[in-house]
Amino acid sequence: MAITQQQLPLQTARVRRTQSPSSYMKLGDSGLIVGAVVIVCILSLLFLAQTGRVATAGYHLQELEREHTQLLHEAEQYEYRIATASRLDAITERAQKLGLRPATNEQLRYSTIELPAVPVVASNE
Amino acid sequence: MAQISAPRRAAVPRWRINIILLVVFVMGLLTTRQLVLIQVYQELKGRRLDELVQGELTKHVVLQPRRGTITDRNGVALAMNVNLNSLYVDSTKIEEPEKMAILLAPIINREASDLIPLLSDKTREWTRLSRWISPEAADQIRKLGEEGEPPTGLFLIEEAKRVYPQGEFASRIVGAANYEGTGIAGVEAFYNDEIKGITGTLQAEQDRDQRPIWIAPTQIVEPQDGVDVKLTIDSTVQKLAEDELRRVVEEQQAEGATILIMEPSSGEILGMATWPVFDPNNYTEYEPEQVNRNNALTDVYEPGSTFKVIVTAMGLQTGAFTPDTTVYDGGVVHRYGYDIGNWNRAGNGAQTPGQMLYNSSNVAALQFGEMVGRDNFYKYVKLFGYGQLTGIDLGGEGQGIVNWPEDNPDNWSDLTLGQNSFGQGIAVTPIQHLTAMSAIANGGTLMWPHVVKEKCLGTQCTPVKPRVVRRVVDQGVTDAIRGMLTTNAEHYANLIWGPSTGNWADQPLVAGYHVAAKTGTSQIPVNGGYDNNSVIGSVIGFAPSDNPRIAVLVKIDRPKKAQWGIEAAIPVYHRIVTKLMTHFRIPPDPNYLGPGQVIGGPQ
Repeated sequence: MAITQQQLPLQTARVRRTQSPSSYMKLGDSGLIVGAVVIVCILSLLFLAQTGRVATAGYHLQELEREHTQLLHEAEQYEYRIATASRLDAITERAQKLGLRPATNEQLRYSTIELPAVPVVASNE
Repeated sequence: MAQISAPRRAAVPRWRINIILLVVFVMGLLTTRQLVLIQVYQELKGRRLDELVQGELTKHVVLQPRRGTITDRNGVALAMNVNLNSLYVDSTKIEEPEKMAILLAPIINREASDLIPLLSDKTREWTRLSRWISPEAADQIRKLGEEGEPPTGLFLIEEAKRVYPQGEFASRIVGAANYEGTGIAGVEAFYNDEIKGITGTLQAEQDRDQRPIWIAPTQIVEPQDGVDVKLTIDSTVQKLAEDELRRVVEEQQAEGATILIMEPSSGEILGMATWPVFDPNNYTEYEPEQVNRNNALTDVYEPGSTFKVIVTAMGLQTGAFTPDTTVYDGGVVHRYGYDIGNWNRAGNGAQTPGQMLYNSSNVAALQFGEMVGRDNFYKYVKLFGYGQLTGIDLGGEGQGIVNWPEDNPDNWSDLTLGQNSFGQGIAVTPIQHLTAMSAIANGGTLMWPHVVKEKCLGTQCTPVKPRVVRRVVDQGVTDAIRGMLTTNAEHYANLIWGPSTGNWADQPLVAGYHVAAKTGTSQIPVNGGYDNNSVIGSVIGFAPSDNPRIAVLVKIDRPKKAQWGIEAAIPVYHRIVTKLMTHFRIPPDPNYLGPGQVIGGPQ
């Protein structure tokens, strides 16, 4: 009794693939269209994701800029308060409240400070 | 059984159907036209769609630069920017206007009765109740609402404001910027182009909330901030000058006064105080003239006897006379049909230039002026900078009045030279006069007076370098004059020390310091003559005499209590120099003291 060997379809495909890989890679017209559509879809998704990330980052950046501006304004407020508090009139008033008084003539002392002589740098020559 | 027949359809006249068809056809045509316009020609209501979209999407924003700050030479802030809240109301959302008015009134310093109509007016959706309220007031308004927000219908909007934290202090120099941020007086006006900066622009597509969409192309021209200006003013010196100014004006009930303090070696103005003062934070409350006018630069006055110093310098420089040359002072001298005399018509006998200054002899000064001669006299008047602008970096400067013989032959006569020799018939500005005196203090070199020491853009700073205008006289001449003026200052000392020490003789004006000074009592020209009831008292000088650190001018306009003005001006000069010697840490000479004098006194 003759025995007929029949390969299963998957095995057939594997054989064909190993025998001529180039023909396996060849795509028909419909394959090309499907491939192009898939690529365009993937690219679109990537673009969309990228755009979304850029927009989100942009808003985040904008928020940071707003916070930066807000902090600058706060800093200005503090500088203004410091400047107002450091008015000479205000300082005088506070000093007097603390009991400080201008020095009298008897309290002034003038000292002459003798500056040290300039050290002579030894020369190697 | 009766058969019910179907209702008969009413016959519609054909003309009605035709009309309906026509209407539908016309509407179809119109729709088609609109479709073509929109889809093909991209137009809507006569405007191109892309333009409309662009207009809706694109945001054009002007980016405001930061106006530069102004500080004194030590970094004390004199003018700066601060974002303050302004209070706005949408009155359609205010439920209880009366109650809200009562709550707001004390916070924003307005009458409740004024606020009620504004809060009740339902036809106005946006009204400003108060501009630039203090941070404390803003906090109080937020506390009236919930969750740190103002009550419903009230809005706090941040708006930039130019502020002057020192108020009236140094306001004549700093000046003011108006509410639109444009300098209108002082340094603010003179350096406005540099301080204001350059606006930038932002052009970007925006989302529904008017936020730029970052994925769309954005065009930004960054604004360029204004230059930060550091003045030559020393706040301690300025404060001293202003305090003394206020004191003398009040004591003397004077109509005005000016105190100028300059560093002779550089021309830097250390202090400039004039009366009256103004607060640049509320500049609208003053007359425009009061804001714009800096009397130290604009006012002209006859320098009187203080001008004799200049005549002495020109005579010594030209060799017309020497320190030992004498002229005879008989009290009165007759020239060109007029009798010209000293203030008391008393003679002083033979007078050297030093004695002429000491006795403030008009008769001797006239003769020394004649010895200099017309050509040399006016040549040196010009070289010292009179009759022309000093070029100080502040606006509104006057150039004084000099009747030049060549330019004004009709107004000039030989008598003019004689009068000019003792400071009459010539008018100077305080800044001109002090600049000329500083040249004598500075060894004869005239410096450009200026108030800005440094300009900074970010961290890049450019110093304003002192500028030599010209050499006017030689060092030898100024050395001789310094000696004369120091002796002169001792002559005035009894006014200060006499009451406390009982010593009315000549003595150091400022105990422990050699100081130069010359006084002047100027008559005030009115209607072709002179005012017999008022004078201008002034002192001009420098200290220390041998190595001048400061040159000072004190001028008091129409003092009511001091008959000659100088009795008021000398104490001011004395106090200023005494305190500034300590401020600049200049050690006193313990051997230069009169009987009973103490350094720093009298107090």
